[in-house]
Amino acid sequence: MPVLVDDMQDSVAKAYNAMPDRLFVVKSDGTIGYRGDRGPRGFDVDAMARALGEIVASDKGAAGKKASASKAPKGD
Amino acid sequence: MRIPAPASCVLICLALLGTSSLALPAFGEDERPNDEGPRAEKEADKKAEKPASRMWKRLKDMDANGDGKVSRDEFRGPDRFWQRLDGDGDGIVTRAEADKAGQGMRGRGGGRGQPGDQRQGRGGMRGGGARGLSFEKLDLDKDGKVSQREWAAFLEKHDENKDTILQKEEWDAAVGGRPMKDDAPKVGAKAPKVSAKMIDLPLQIDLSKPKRTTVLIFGSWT
Repeated sequence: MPVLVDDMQDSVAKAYNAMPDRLFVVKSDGTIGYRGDRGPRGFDVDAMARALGEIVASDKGAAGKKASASKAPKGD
Repeated sequence: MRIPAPASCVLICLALLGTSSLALPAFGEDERPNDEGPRAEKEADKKAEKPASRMWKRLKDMDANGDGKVSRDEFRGPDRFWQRLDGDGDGIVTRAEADKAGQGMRGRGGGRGQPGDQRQGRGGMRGGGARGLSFEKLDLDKDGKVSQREWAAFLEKHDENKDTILQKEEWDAAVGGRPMKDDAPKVGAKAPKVSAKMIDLPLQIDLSKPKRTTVLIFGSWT
């Protein structure tokens, strides 16, 4: 699991208002897919996992539709 | 902490400086966790009279030896947090102690303990109770007594609409503290354009342009 380190100005933590701990899911289109509450009490791994499952399933569905559309024969 | 990770996404841990290193177990993208423990515990929770408290849910992942208790060696958190949890000071936190501590932190009243106990840090725990109210705050002249005048001053200060009546919302704001403003990006919004450095490689990662669905785990434990 890649580990990143924030800078001394806490730029990422401030942008995400993430202190002291928090969970987010960023989708492949660059938008926020899940925003957890601030921890420690709001740090809910189960809720994040459920949201992540839905996002991944949705991505797979969209990818499947795209693949089907590209394979469909083009009409004259 | 076990985080189920579909192969199509990336987990990124962000270690927040200022309170030293991140303490999360490594978890590969293609690993599947052994769900027997958490699933069994969830089943037990369903059967239990009370659902697992949030506090215990947070702590149980630290129970490395699976004995149902968290020892001081297993605990990964600040000392002041441990002291709140280990009610009997025996170096072990049981589920009962975690539940009790969690309730205590939600409903900690004002006027008890030292004045500094009611301070609220960034991202601090919210909850009901008289957390923002203390005897010392009411005792304006510090004579060890709260007079009628001092009560009136308190009421006037928190009567926000100046109708000479303290509504329940005004009381809640006065004694419980206002919820902290949350500027975090909302669901559906574009991810902030920020980047962070990898801890073990000289690479700067732009977190606003993920190639795959990415989980950001922000954490800081002293």
